Amino acid sequence: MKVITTLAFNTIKALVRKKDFYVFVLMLLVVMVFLSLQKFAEVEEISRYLKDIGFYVLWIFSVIIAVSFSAKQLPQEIKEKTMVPLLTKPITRMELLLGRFLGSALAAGLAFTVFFALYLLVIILRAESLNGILFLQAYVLGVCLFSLICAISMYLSLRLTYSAAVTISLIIYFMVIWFGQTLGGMILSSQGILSAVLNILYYLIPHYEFYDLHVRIVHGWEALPLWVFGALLLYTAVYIAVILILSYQQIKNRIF
Amino acid sequence: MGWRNIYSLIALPVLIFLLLMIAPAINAYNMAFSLDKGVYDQDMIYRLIGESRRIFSRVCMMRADEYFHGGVTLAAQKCKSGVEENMNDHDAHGHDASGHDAHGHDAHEHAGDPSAFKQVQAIRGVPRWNFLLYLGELINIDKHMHLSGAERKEMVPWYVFATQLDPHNIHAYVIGGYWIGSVLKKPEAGIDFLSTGLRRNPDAWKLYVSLGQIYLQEKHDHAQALRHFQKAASLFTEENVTRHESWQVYLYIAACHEWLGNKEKALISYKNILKYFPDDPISRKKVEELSR
Repeated sequence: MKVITTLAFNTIKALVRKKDFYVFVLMLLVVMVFLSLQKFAEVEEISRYLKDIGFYVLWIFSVIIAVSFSAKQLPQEIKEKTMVPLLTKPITRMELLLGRFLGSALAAGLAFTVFFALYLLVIILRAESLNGILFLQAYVLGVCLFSLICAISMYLSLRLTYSAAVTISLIIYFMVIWFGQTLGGMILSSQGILSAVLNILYYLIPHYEFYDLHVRIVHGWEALPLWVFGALLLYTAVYIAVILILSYQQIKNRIF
Repeated sequence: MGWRNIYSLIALPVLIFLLLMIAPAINAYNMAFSLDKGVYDQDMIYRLIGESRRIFSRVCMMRADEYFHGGVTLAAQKCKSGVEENMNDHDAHGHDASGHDAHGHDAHEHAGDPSAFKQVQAIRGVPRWNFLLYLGELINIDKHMHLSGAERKEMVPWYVFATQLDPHNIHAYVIGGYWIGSVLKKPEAGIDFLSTGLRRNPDAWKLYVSLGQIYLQEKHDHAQALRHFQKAASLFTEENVTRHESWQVYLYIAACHEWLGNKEKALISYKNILKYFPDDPISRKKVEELSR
């Protein structure tokens, strides 16, 4: 366990050294301040657009960091030939994988936490009312989502080049976000073999759209029922575990 | 010296030479293109995103519609409308005679289609054993609601964004002006918003009608309202107005004359309407009243 945490913290240090993280923080700040200062035809105390656009921007920035950061971890080790000396130490390949995954997930989670805190700060400064439970759920589900994205990007990076892994990860993300819900609708209105095929596809794809609570936050809907929230956490854990096992199969016997 | 260094030594001067040669040509082309398209007269948004601003402007309008329905997407609304029996609140929401409600919906927009009905019935019957699908349905919000009270101001930014992105989006000005001026009871702001639209689209008769409506209904300034309705009518052509729309504006003109105490002008106006719309019961009744 100590090895895993050491590897994870080394990965987090890399995030702190990355300049793009600070650029994203600055950009989010600029966007939020710019939007806060907007005036709309003498109509005051408008807030939903700010919550909406702000949340969207922080979400996208976090996705970019999660994908680019996690997809780089293992290919970089292989490219810079640091994998071989690392594996000569008392460390198993599973520990290496878990360490790098945990590091990427924590780094993406840390970036998301900073963005989310900044977002919350601007909303609180505008004296907006907050649904504490809903915001907590959105935060926890955000961390879960970015962990899932990290696991998938890392798996893809073991099968593809870095750029291809990043591109495919982002394509998967946007496809699921845009069409995941539609796929659900198609299953319900289809029958027979088509329904079975669509159901299989539905269970295979990572349901990123489940984690996005921004509509509830922006429009003041109620928080998720506790059991639904719990089920989402369980879904995340199972999906990540499956992806990590698949990733392990990729590096188990590979000669670096 | 390695091959990489030799390539670099050759490539760099060639690239610099090409840049120096091509740059003035690109600049000249760019100037010609921009001047021809009038780009330099446009704002920064137009210069940045060009004609795609129209698409973004429409996206903003769709966003406003989603806000009006509490963040529920158009697809979900249409799906839901197939089974919602209690949709009468739309009628109570201010449909005008043209079949558009206060928010600019077509009256037929919410008429549910059979496939949507089938889909919603299926959603209601999602078996619990299909755990993931069931979970998705629970997370997804598809309740039908409309903004009310002070919440209605939340849509305004999207109309403003829509007009900033596309200064020729008349629909955005009309609906935005209605919301600001009439629904949020800020007639001056509504007039400012619509006047901005008119500066950018001087031939848009719909903007004059919207202005006239605010003067009439919110400021009770019948003279100003009449002036705007008359201006709108003067801009009608066969292509840019429907029969129904023109009838509505002529009716406004006649009513304004009547409210201003010009009974003769009102009578002439109503008679003129009857010439073109002989079946119009309102004008017929008014002609009878004013002729006594």
